[in-house]
Amino acid sequence: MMDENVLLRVRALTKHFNINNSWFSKPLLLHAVDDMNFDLIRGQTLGVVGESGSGKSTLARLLLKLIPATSGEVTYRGQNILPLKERQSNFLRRDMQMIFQDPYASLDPRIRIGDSIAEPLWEHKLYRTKDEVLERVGTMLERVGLQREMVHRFPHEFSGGQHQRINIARALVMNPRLIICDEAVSSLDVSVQAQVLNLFNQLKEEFDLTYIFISHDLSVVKFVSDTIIVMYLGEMMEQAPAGELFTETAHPYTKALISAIPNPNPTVKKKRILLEGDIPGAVNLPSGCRFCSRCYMAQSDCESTHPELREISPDHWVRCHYSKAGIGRGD
Amino acid sequence: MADILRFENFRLDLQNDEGQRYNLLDDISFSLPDGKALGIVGESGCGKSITSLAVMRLLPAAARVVGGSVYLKGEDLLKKTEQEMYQIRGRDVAMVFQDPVTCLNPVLTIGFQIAEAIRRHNPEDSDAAIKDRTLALLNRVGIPNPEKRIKNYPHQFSGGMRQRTMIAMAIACSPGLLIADEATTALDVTIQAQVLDLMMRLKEGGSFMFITHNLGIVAEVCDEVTVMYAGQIVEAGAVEEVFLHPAHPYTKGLLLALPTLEFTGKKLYNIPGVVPTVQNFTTGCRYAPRCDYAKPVCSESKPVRCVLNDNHNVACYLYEEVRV
Repeated sequence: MMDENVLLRVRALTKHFNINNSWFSKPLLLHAVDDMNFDLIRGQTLGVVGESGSGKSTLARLLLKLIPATSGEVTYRGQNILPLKERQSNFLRRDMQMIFQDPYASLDPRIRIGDSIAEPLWEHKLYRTKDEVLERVGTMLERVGLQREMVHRFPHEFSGGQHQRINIARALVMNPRLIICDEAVSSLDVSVQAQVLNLFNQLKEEFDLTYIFISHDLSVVKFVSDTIIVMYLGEMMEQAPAGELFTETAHPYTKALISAIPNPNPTVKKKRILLEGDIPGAVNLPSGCRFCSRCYMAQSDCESTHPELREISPDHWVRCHYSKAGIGRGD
Repeated sequence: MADILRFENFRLDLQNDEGQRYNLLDDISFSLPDGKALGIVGESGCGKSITSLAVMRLLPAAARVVGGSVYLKGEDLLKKTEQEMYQIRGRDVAMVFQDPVTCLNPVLTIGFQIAEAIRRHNPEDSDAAIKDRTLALLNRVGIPNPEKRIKNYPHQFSGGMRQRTMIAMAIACSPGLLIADEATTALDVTIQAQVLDLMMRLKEGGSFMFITHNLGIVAEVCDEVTVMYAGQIVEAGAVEEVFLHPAHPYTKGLLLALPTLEFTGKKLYNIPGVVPTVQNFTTGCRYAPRCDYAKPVCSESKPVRCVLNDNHNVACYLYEEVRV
């Protein structure tokens, strides 16, 4: 892969939270994200899936420098951004934007939406006059499928889908290179979700955007992504090109996730892999594979030896001792 | 086969603080044969939850029933007194709600809360007998170590275990009908699969009503489906019929708008516009403003239900000519 095509390079990125509040006793570490490695290619969409507690939202916050990382490197256009001071990372606040899950909570109910969208423009002093800002905000509203005249309205006058469009407009107004969507369509109804997903795809072409799309919904992630990362308890379990992840599924956890999605076609009667138990906490992790307590393929050495990421075919990585390409085929 | 539950021309208005009334449920009629699982699907605000609450007679204060009847085992629930409803809830019909966190009392043990449901309907049973039944229930819903877990508080349980507890409470008195209102929506996919699997095993012999927005769940666990839009039933029938040969433009749109694992295109079908709120419901077919096939008549009067075959009917003017 050509180097200048890599927008974001993540190496050994780790985040541990100390959840012991006492000052004097030993710290109790929660392994939210452990040893993440991936390259984000310009113009592509990277999907991140995992269940609650898998560390996918922490990953998003680390990449945006909203929380400090424990160790590792995040290289953005050739520069490691993690050691940068807040003042020096100002350009990141322009280049990277985030869209959150709850469309209602992410807009101030007492501020007109035009002002909400214009706020980052003033903050970064991108335009000088009010008219220029208003023009820019109006253009963005039109690009996300709303009307220019709506700038004077308040958030309560909009529906959930429209809220999310406003949030997208606010992200786009800075002309970012990278947008991180954290469960951005999860709270929307099916018919509205389809509208917003199509909008994401359309804007990607128009504005030459790169997305990181975080979701618990594999079907949504598959629709928007070029590459998909599957996370479990803070670790990457599998990374593969979107199509290959479903046809050449290598990790038993990915296989179980895929089989757990209820299929709206009643004639397809598939065999469901039922995982035992719940996702364990990310404190006091086992020395071996983190998934082995729920794995239906676990052998004795899974408990003792920690599996490393292996590349089983080009761009297809898996963290499992026993997986081979294509165990998901045929059933 | 007898129907365990039957809605007949049920109409319900919502009244706001100023006394204005808006019609929410418009002529809801459907039936659930004994021993079957019925799915009610629709987007937010379509009235599916309030329909299920009507069965329990747990309607919010703003709701006003303006007509129709709800029959459970042939008896009209709307004519029951509150005292009689106390006996019916839990014994004849029980409900599992979406959010197990808010449904469990945080300061009482799991065991106490399940035993409460049993004690209410079996006041003469001894404490030991009730405890045995509680343990058996926890066992049945797949909670390991029931003897220890019975003393736990809800915060010591994971989300999946809390939902299992809710199911144990609901089936404590073997109700003839179990209603699950978005019971798996808040759970992770692998946990959702576990809970659905549990419900399927419990289903043997009982009748189920699943309220959900997830078409996949309906296709996997239900025998029949009723599709609602903005307080009206737009299509109903056997799951295979409705999902494989959807007739109503809304059902078709919903199925196409859903990204599935098989879908490989770059653009999803999308239904234009937004889901209306109750203040903005139109006359006639309420889907007409968003419908690609709408005719002038659609916004004038409500379409009558057209029977497509024994297992399939649809309320749409497109099918008027096939009406029997």
